[in-house]
Amino acid sequence: MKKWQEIFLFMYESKATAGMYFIAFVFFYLVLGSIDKSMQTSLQFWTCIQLFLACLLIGLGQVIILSKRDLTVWRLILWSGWSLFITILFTEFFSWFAGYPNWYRYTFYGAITLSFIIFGLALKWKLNKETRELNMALHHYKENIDKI
Amino acid sequence: MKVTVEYISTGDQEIVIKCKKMDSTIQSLLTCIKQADEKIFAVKEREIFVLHSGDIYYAESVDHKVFLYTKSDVLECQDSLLNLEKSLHYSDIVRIGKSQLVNLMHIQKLKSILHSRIEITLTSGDKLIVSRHYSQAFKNKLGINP
Repeated sequence: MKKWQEIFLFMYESKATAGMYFIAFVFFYLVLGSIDKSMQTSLQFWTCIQLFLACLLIGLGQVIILSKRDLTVWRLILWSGWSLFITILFTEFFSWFAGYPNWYRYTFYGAITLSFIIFGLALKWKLNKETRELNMALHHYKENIDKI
Repeated sequence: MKVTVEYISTGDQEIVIKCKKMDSTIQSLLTCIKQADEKIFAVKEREIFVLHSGDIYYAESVDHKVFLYTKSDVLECQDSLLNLEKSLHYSDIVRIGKSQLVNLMHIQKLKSILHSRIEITLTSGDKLIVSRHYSQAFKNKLGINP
């Protein structure tokens, strides 16, 4: 496989996570303005690019850190740590929530942290369920062959 | 379909199929029987060995050479992996990657891992990975349909 194909596949693997977090980031960026009518919030083009870059780094981190053979708690913690670091770094450096009340920024960090925990648990449950199904199917397959 | 097995103590073993017409089921059965009787020739230290599909734990292609892994040996097969896969189509051997085939009967356990891949632990203790590209076909072979 050529290098550019490998890079493309690498990016492709991260699309779901990056997309999911991009929706969450945009939602958090705009939701307060829609609730509190006294605030004027709109998403600028460059802010949108910043949000996208942060989400892309979270997605790529997931591919690099969690794509190894074993999905371990330590890998999940490492990826969550990396993602939280990216979230805080981008939020603070680009002052995404400069015009918002302070508590809102911390709520955003809290919600993102919670999403990592849910993400990890969901992934683990899904893989465990698939593993059970696979082993049951293998058992049935061997049983049927033995009968023949 | 009635299946009768008659045990004999002497003479050649034979399979007789009684059918009204040659339909697809009978045709598949015939192919399956022929394939089950197929022998695979492999080389180890200039000696030629005859293997049955059941002897193979997994097959791997490395640098255009195909190696067959049995319980305790590694033999080289003169055929290509593609031809080997075709000739063993009706056996328990299935493709798991661009360069690997595995025998389902020698799998001890399976584990679903990230990116739709499957980790295989063989009864010999070896570990293999079913790549994402082949994981659905692998599941289909086990009877898991999408």
